[in-house]
Amino acid sequence: MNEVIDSFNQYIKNIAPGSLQIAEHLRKDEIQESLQLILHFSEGMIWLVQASDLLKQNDVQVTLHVEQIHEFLNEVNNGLEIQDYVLVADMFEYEIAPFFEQAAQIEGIEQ
Amino acid sequence: MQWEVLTAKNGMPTVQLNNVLLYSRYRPQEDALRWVEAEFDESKTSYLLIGLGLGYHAEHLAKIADGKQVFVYCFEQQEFDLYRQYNLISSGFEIVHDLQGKLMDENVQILIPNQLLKAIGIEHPIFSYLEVIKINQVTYKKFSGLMEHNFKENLYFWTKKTSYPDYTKKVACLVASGPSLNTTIHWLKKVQEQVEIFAVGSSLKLLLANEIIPDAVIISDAKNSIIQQLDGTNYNGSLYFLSTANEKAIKKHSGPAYLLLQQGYPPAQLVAQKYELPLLETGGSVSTIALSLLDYLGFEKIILFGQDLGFHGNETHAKHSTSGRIIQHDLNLRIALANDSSKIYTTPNLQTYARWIEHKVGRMSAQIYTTSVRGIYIPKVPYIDENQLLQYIQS
Repeated sequence: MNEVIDSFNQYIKNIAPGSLQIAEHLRKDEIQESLQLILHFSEGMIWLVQASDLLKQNDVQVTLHVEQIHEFLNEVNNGLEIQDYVLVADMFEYEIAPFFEQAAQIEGIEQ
Repeated sequence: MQWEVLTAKNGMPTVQLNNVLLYSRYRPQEDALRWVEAEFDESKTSYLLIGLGLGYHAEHLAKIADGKQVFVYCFEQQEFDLYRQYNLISSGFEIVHDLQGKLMDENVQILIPNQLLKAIGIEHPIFSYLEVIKINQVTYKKFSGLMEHNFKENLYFWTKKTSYPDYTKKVACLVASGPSLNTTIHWLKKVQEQVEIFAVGSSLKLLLANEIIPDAVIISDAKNSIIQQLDGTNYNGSLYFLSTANEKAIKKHSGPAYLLLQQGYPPAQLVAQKYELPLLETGGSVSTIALSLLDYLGFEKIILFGQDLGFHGNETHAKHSTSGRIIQHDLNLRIALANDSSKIYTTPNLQTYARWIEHKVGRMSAQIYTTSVRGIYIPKVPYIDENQLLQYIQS
């Protein structure tokens, strides 16, 4: 379980810089590069939600708001569908990155 | 067009055009500024920005252009009125309402925000014109370093051959690897002795597998991924390579190799001048460059094989071609008319090549035909079936 916690914490730390990178590509009209990164991001989010469930089942306290992640994914998806890349860049830079900057790390297994 | 001014989270005005945001909903001016900084090419002598909007792009561009000429294209009166409503003075740039007569040479940088293209939509009369420019800019930006590297290597190893072979046959078949080639490759097999076959790199292995040895192969892509087009084949016939084509791929070839120089790429233009070689219009893809080459070589008839520029279902290329990919949920898919009047999918890039061919054909003396029944419809490029092909080749 500690391995999952380590990966979870490490991944959480990488999300904010990754989100800013996506926004930067989008703002430079580098659409293909950003779509590739968004694909990795959404795969990462799925893993994060699964890991969060697994940890909770093992009585680890996880404060991450999973509903908020679903909301982000929906909004990103809506923006991509209408190809409004400014909207998507805004989401990554001003919503997703700050959210994960403040996301708490898991300190260890609750005994 | 529908313009709507909104208040961003930081209190500044931002604008939506046809429901697409032109600037950030959080920090619109800062967003615009970053875009201009990323696009700006200080080596240019003047600038043409497409779209005035609320003036955020224009004002920052004028600032960093530092006295050089800046023109800003304004689409309509309503846009101009909006701009005036939020800006008391405009300085350092000239607003224009017409692109006709604007000098667009290599010293002018044209700046087109991607978001603006989305906002005006594909039905707008200048959309396709702007889209071609944007696609070429994005490609160039992405690959300019690699192109430069390839160019240096290719020129270093170039044998200084300054003339191309003479071809005695009057008909050239240009073979690309669109899905229709699965069928038409059998037609090609029947006529191979009577025509010159020019194959784009991605169709080579498919031709060889069908025991058709092309008279020449053309490659132009800068990326390493084209190495596989020649790798593992024993093809040692003529190879035409664009000056910026992947140098590793060219080094794999043991037969005669001929340099192609492209218009609009300054280092290639210098070599063309020095060695009195022709400059070819590229059109953005290997097939379009190949068409320019065949035009230069003076063929009377050019027959396109596998030049579909569109596809049914999700197959973009012929089976076993080295460019195939499966399209899944591509957000950029567009519907286009095929030669058999059915509807097919295409992409912005493929559509750009089709438009380029349409214009190019108007300037060529050769007659051009296509054998892609479900390829994209291109005016002035009639479809011919197998029987017509046999007739045309004999006449």
